[in-house]
Amino acid sequence: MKKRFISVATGLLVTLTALFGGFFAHQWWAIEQPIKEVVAETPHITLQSFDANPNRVEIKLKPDPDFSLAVDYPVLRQRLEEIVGERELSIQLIDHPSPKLQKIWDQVVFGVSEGIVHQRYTEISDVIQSTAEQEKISYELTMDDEFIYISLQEDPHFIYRVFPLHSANDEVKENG
Amino acid sequence: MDKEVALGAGIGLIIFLLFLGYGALAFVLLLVTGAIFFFSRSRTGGFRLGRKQRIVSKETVPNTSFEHIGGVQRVKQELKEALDFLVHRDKIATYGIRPIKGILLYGPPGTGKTMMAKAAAHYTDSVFVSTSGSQFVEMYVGVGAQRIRELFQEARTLARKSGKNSAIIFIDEIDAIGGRREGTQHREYDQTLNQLLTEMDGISPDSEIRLLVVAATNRKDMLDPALLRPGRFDRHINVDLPDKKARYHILSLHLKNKPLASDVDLDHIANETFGFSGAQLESVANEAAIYAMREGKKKIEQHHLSQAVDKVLLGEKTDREASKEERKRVAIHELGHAIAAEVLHPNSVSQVALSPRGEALGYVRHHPNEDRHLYTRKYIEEQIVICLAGSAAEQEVYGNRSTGAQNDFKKANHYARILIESGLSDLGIINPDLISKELMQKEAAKILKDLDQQALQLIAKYRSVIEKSLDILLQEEFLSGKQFRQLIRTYQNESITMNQA
Repeated sequence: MKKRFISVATGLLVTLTALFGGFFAHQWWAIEQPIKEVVAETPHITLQSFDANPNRVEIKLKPDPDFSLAVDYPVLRQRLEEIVGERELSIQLIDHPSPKLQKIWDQVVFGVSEGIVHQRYTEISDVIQSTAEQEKISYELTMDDEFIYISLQEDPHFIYRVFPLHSANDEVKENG
Repeated sequence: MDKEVALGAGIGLIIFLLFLGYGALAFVLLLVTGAIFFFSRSRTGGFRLGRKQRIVSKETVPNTSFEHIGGVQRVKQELKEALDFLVHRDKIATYGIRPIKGILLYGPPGTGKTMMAKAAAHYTDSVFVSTSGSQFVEMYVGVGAQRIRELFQEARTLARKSGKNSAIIFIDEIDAIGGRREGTQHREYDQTLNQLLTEMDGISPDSEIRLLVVAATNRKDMLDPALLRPGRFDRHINVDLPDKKARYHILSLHLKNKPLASDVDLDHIANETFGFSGAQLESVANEAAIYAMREGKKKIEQHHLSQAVDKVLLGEKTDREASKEERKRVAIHELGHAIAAEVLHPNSVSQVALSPRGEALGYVRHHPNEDRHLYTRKYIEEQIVICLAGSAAEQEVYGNRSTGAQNDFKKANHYARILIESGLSDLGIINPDLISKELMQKEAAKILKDLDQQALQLIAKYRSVIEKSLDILLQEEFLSGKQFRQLIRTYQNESITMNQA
């Protein structure tokens, strides 16, 4: 009886070691390392944390004030998505808002949301431009076929927001 | 072994799938493995039809040699002669002798047929594969035949693997498959038998590995004639109960590894164990050692061996406590037997005991002076008188008889039947099959009645011996043959004078 138990336990242990070992090795060599390399190659941004499970990869990135959301971020995201493959990629950008910036954002968010829902994207641009001029802060605004990227800046503080274009009813994924 | 590892691996896989989030797939896998496990476990059939179920004990070359088998010189000689054909291959080729394919050992249980087969394998330096007839019997048709094929195949492979050029296949209790084929009913073991016959025919003389089938049975009469013909089992060797010389040899073999007191008279024990099989003798040696250990003695003494003989013959002493009156009756009964035995065959009583043992409440042990195989009418009649003397003694003392004599009467009837069937009765030579039961019974009753009268007369003559010995027996519970003869000598004259007076 004891001998049989040992056989079962050995089988179990060997299988678990092989399967999980393989899984984690793949995760390390094929995902975590390349992501780290890509982030390291991109200027003005550092990797804060990395977490992966079988269906989802979560990354926290910390940009410095010189990071351009409109220029650098879409490229970075594209490269990371290629690495991650079929899994869901969640990127969190850690921004650095001041109370004033936060307050301004709270004002413009209505216009931005309205613009996205009604697909009148120039409204968004108008709202942000007028508010920025009024409050004397700088801003960056751009969009591609998936997201709208908005950044408000008043040195040394900045706030980043990324809105998905086509899934207004889905949860907001990239609201870092 | 593989199955267990697979089970462990399966569990591991399921855990991994659950981790990846494929719960449904894991569940399906669990069901499938469960089903496979269930089917392969619950029946011998299922997926494998009991293929590897046969429990064959394999010994490449057994350590038992002919020297380890006591007695039975003739059997050993005959077997060795048959086996020489396996050993001296070149010689038989020059004479053009067809090698022997099978040897059938038959005889009563416990006479060492299995030992013989092992010794045969040792002698010929062959691979030994043993199995038993009943292992071919299964509920599925065709399995038995398949197992025969596998058995022969296995013997060949094993021989090849261990670099031997001959193999001995031993089939114990072959009557389970080799039973007589009769009637129109087709039975599954007919196929098994057919396969065995075919395989034995297929043992070709010039093949690289020579096979010899040794079978054992104690029912040779039940075997199929096709199995017994030359070319199948060429030699039939009767392994009989050991004679005195053989018993001595067997006893000494089994006592070799046991501490024996110097005064032990093995010859005496061999004498007392007439009709014992080898297995029983082994048991005697073993029980004697157990008795010695129980008593805390360093060596096995003569009385341990005597006790062991009683134990093997009659069973262990029981705790049945008889009432005083009953004990007295048993004592009288046993004294009756003992007196008749001593008078008719002087020096034949070895002990009279009053301790309950097995089924008997008391017993008288006789030792035959020599092994006998032929009996005269007079001898058998005397045996009957001894049987009846117990009950006659009760009649003499109490004026009535008890149920205690049932077994004696059974034995007496058996002897009477032997007398009639051997043509020694007044009926003359008869055919027991054609004679009516009533006539037989009438003749037996007549014989028994006459002899009962004789027993009564004999007991009456020795009544005082019974009365005088009774107290001693009741007190001691045991009288040795020597003590008993002393008592008879002392009181014999007294009773005769009493009768005359």
